Amino acid sequence: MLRYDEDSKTLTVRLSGELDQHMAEKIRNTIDSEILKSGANNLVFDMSESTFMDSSGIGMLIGRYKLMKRRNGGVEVMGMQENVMRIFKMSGLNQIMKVKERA
Amino acid sequence: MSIINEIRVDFLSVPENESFARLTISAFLLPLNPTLSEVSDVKTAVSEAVTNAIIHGYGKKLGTVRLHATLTDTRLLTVDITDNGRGIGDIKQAMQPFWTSVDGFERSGMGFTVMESFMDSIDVASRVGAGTTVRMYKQIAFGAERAKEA
Repeated sequence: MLRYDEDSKTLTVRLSGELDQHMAEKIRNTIDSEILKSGANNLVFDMSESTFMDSSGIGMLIGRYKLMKRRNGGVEVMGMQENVMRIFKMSGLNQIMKVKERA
Repeated sequence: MSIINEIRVDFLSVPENESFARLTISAFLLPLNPTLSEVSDVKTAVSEAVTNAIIHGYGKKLGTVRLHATLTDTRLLTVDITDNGRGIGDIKQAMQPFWTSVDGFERSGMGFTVMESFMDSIDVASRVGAGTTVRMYKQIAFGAERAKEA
């Protein structure tokens, strides 16, 4: 689920399944402790295997965005399916995070 | 317009049941042969309402969440999500985008906005100390209308 690239100081998180409040709660701590441990400056979410996201997933993404901002880094999201992309855009996250179509 | 199907499902306010509620409403819709986006819209709205019931309605306490859904012969879906939790004092405020009652917990405050966007309309009835019911409506398109769109 987590892959860290030392050269680019980028942590890639591969999310799969349904990202709701239950799941967001579970993965939040794992991601944060890996960021601190690795010293990552950039965070990439690979969502090509995410089939669902609701506003709790949005909250989790915003939280990580704020964390990376404090570290002078950024967040990129890639591979979102149409339904995931819809709620992502509705929340305006496409204005603060880089979006790539393909993982 | 008459009701052709109806379900009532009570479940405990544990986070695992968010996905249970999504599966339940998807299965309820299935006989109508809905489009993927209709299913996705309804699933997302139900997920938001159930999450609200669990997080905001009951908080750290456990209680019962009820999913009540009806379908009419005109393909109108009505879903009620009810909790007997703490209730909402100011519904207007609660429905503002980005507003949340639990600051500092990374809530996006987008729950009601998502429900309103993905369903045709929603009504919220709540009493402080007694609980909340969110009623949501969605017209599921007829096969012929769908063919026109395609």
